Amino acid sequence: MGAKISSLFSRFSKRKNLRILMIGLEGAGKTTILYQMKLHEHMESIPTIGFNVETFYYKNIAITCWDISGGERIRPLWHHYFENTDGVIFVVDSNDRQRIEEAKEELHRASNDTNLENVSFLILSNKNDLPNAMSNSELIDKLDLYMIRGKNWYIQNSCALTGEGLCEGFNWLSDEILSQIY
Amino acid sequence: MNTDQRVSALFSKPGNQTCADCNSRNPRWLSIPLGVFICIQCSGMHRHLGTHISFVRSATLDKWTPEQLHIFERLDNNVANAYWEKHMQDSNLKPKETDSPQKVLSFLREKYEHKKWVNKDELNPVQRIKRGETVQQPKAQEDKQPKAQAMKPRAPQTNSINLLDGDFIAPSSQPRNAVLNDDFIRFDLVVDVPAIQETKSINTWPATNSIVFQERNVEERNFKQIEERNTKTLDDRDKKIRDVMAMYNNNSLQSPDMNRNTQQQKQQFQSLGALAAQKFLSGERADFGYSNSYWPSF
Repeated sequence: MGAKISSLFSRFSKRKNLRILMIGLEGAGKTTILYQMKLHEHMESIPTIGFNVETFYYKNIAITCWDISGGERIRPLWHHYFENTDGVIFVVDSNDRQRIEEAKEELHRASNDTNLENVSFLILSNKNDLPNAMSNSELIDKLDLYMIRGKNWYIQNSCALTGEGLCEGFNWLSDEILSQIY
Repeated sequence: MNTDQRVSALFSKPGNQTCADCNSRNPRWLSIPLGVFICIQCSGMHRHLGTHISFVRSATLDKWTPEQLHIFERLDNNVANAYWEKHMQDSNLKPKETDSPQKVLSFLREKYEHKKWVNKDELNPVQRIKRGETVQQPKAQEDKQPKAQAMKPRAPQTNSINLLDGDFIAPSSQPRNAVLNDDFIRFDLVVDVPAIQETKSINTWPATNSIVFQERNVEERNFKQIEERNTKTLDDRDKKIRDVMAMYNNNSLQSPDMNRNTQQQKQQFQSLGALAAQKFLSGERADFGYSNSYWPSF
């Protein structure tokens, strides 16, 4: 009981820093999500070459979010960012049925990386407002999420333009990370 | 030819020199299903349309598949726009580089999503190439040209643009800000150097009542010519200045016990300083980045 109270106390008393990595195929909406979380508004973005990094506060937690370019030639460099990562957000364009296979490969390559052992994965199925978007169950099936072993994952619908679903996703991720640490 | 060479050959196609949507220079992104080369700003907007309409790739950062190369080697922006903008009467509708993203996006939605200016019976050029048909360069719109000339009074002589070669798009009274901004420094130089005929076409701010015909190809060509002439005239001038300064240096007093090396250096410094002073006095921008021949080599 005492331990619980103290953990609760520490939880609300001081700010924590989390390092979160955001990956996904190009054009999935990573940069838009990043700036939606940071500025709470929609910013017109251009294709990222390299990465964007922003720190924002979410529920008294300082989240340093790394948004790595999803370009084909940059994907092999993702693993350089995997060290000391508390959580991973994998953004999928739920409207892009042609490249879902490509997304699956990248997701499984990342989830099997030794640096990301015991790291929770949040899968954001972005652009879910579009009429032709894939449902969560369809995505779970197509991304073979049940094949991800040894880590927690969660799939969340989102729409980066309006910010819908992002808070729910970050909620789950931060709770998950903090429950592992404390 | 390997892939890189084939890709760089695509860049040098005359139609691919400007973005298909906003006319900014050297587009390095492409929309695969639409078959157009676009700039990075427009590519951000193309992503908004969704991958079912426009799927954006980088020409330099992404890998090309053989099929994509096959398609884009048979296409350029002129061909693609001849389809996408077939019934577009007013070229002012096209966004410029400086326009807000929202304006660009609404234009793109009309052009590609609602297919506002498309002849609905035709297939788009990418689909036609996939079917094995050949697409041809659009004609130079010869049928439109005399009509436009007959209907509109010709612009005064000083403001005339060469209408004879190349195609031109619909008339507009818009100042050519995009181009001027783009090459402001070069434009500066053009003004500086007198007696170049072609400068007139670039120099032309729209005359109050006259119609200025915008013409992409000729503009492009004129720029090249002016650039060449600029470098030529500047080179000539440099030569003259250098000759004069050399004479000056030879006649100047030199202490006899200076060894040759330091003498040379001194000369070079003198000429450098004199040149800078001359440039300064003549009111020119002190732009030493123009040529490293100004600097002494040690």
